[in-house]
Amino acid sequence: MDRVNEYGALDEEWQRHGLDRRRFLRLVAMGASASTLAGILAACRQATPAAPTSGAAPTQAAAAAPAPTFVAKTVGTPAAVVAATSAPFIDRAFFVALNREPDNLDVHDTTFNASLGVDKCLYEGLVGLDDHMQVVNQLAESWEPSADAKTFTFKLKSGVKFHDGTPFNAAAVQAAFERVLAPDAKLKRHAYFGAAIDHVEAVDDATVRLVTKQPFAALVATIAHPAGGIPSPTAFKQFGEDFGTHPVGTGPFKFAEWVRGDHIALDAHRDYWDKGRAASVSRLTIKGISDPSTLGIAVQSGGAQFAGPLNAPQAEQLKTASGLKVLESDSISVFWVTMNDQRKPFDNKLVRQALNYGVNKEAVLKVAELGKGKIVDSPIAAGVWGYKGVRSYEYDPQKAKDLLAQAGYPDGFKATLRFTATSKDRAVAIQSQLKQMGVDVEAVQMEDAAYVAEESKPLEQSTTEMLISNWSPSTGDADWALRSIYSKTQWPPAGPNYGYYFNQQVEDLIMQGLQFTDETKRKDVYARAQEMIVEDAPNILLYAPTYFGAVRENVGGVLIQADGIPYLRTAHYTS
Amino acid sequence: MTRYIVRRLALLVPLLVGASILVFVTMRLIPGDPARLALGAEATEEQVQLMRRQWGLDQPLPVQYVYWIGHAVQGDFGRSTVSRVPAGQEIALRLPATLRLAGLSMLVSMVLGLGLGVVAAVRHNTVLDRISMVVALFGVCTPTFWLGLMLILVFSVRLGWFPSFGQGGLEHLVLPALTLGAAAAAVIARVTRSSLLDVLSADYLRTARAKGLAEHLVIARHALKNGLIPVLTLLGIELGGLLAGAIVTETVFAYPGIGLLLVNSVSNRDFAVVQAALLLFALQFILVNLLVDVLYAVIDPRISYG
Repeated sequence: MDRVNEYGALDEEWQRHGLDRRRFLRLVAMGASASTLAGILAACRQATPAAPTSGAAPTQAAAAAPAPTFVAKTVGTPAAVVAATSAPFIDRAFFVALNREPDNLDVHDTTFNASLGVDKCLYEGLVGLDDHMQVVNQLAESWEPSADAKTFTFKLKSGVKFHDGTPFNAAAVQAAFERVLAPDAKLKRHAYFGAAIDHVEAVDDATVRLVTKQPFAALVATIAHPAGGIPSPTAFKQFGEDFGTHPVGTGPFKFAEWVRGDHIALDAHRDYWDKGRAASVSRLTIKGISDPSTLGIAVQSGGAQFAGPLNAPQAEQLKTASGLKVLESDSISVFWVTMNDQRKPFDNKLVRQALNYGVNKEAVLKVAELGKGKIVDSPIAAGVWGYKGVRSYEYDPQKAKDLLAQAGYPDGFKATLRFTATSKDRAVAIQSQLKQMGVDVEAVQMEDAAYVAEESKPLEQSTTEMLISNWSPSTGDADWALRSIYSKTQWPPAGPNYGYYFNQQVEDLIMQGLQFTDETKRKDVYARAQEMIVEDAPNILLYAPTYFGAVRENVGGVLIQADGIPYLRTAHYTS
Repeated sequence: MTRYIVRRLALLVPLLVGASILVFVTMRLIPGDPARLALGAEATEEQVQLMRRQWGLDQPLPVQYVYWIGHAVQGDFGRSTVSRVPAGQEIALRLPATLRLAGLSMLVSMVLGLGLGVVAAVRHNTVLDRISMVVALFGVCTPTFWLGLMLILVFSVRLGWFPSFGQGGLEHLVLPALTLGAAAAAVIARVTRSSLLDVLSADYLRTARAKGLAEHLVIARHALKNGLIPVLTLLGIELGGLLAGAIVTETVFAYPGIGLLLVNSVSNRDFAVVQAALLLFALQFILVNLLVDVLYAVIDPRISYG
């Protein structure tokens, strides 16, 4: 019962009976409780946009690796790609508008892209990912894996201090990892590291060793993720549970203030250890704006210097605005329609392939993203390491009908398609296309949390038929892009294989990929896995969207990375 | 009167307890697991279960409730599962912003609504009356988010008079307050008009006019006071609603009030924050209703509480 109707009801009552106080109060009480209830229900219905979350939980290798041969890339000499030196420092504030407010700034306790973007300004890890998702050394001078890929020795840079003056050394690294690895740690990244790392040793002041539970060649990529940033042990011991609002790292920016709900402010760290790559602005202010129109207007009105990630309609509209530049970047995020491969009729490969032929992917891309994106020809996006282009099922409605008839469904069938609010356009587009083939899809929009609860049910309890799904592997590595969605070990509730797909050969290939440390061998098994998956057609693969950001003309150094995390530390003014 | 107030305040405790139980149970009955939502899709089942245990979510419902209420009366509402900030603090930090916006919106709606309503009633059946009611109709029908965006586009982007988002000084409050005040003003205008029309034909007003009192004083001193009771009720409801946060307006203007906090917390199944916030709203509604009842007695001497 919204407020307008309440007033209307009161007005009417009053006209009819000359409302007395008791009736008034009764109506008011009803209205008040109804409003509260309506408030809760409305809040439940209103799904906030689900920003793609990053983070990958590496799991143990299936068996001990054969004697690995290392390619030069895995040995940690300073990266061939050296990060460019910073733009000249200008004493001005730089305002960044993101599509969501960070939840907290404890580098070990978040999965939000927005938070990770800010974390990359405050913290640095032994290694990190630069703006092109390349692994570069940050606080490590060099590193070297042992022959059995279980022990990784890092030589640390010297002369580095945390923002609070604590010296950065091996003891600090050890304390930081022990914090997140502790069995009673209430931190969201506990399993991310705990699945792979067994313990950390400080050999001497400038040398630290990370020891994994199994041979795990992907360790360096794992800690290059922003979650691998090193927080100051003095600070997290001092602040305890409040560390998320008092973050301290070694990065080019240090924390100034957080006006909750309004903005976060970071100041340039004057004593940053790497003088050539220090901050180029004196203050970085970050604000979360969840309404897409308001986000676009923020940069259009000049209130913000950067706004992103933006929706396609906002980006298109901003292209016509003056004083702005719209940035586009390819993403490693993929959209598809999950089909419950263990349930009729989707357990029949012919049906699955038929649906792939029957959906016009260009049309869906046009409707949902104004055509901005790339139709995928593999279960993983082109920017992911290990990607192999296979094919995308071309739009052929006749072939689709023939395959359906062959499978025993000449008149099509009925199914439900579940999705959340942000995927409405995609769902409707797919629904109308499948209708032409006689597949009657009921599109059911669900609130985010309810959707997650339903799709995470084990197979026996699952009512899943079709889902609109999305995945973005933050380490940019084929393992987590494939294993998470196509391995039986990830069937819900254990993981996100929401279509309950299982193919023994694919399973073996994915597990082999975890064991091999030889890059060529890994690429080979992943390539074969991708070919098989495309042939099996467990899902209707759609596209990888484009990420948009908008900047004022006189600034630079900010963008949305391929994994959706905003890259902010090189923000600067050009004039 | 004092006894009446004290009696009403004494009712506060059972009402709040009842409200808290309702909120507590509802949040846990709807599907969605805060641990799973906090950890994300990549988390394993063991992690999720571990987190549930750490947050006490695996305990039976009554146990959880007793634990929560026991801490709540000491001011500890638990920590947000999303930000790890104490729930009470999260709300307290946003309350001033909501209060400011609510205050200014009330002012706008009262000035616009009463003004329009009085004018329409006094100039009954003239062009002014018709126009006022059409304007009121538009105010009622216009969706808040559309009005907000239009105001931003005109006054912020085109003219640059006001900022388009956030909080700060008065300039950040103007557009959101106008957006919120407009819808409420429209309804207040209609009710004021109806109420006043009823009163304007009363005998005692004819007496006042016969005694030679100027028309505007007739309205101000006699008519308005009697016609205000239904309007007062409306204002009470409006204030209660505004204090609960204006979700749509806060979203459109990225204004850091409680409404936005509540919506996000419900989406994330952030039990601690939702429970604390809804308890606060219940308290606010009860107090506002009490205030309105007291004001009835103040305005109309015929009303008294024994």
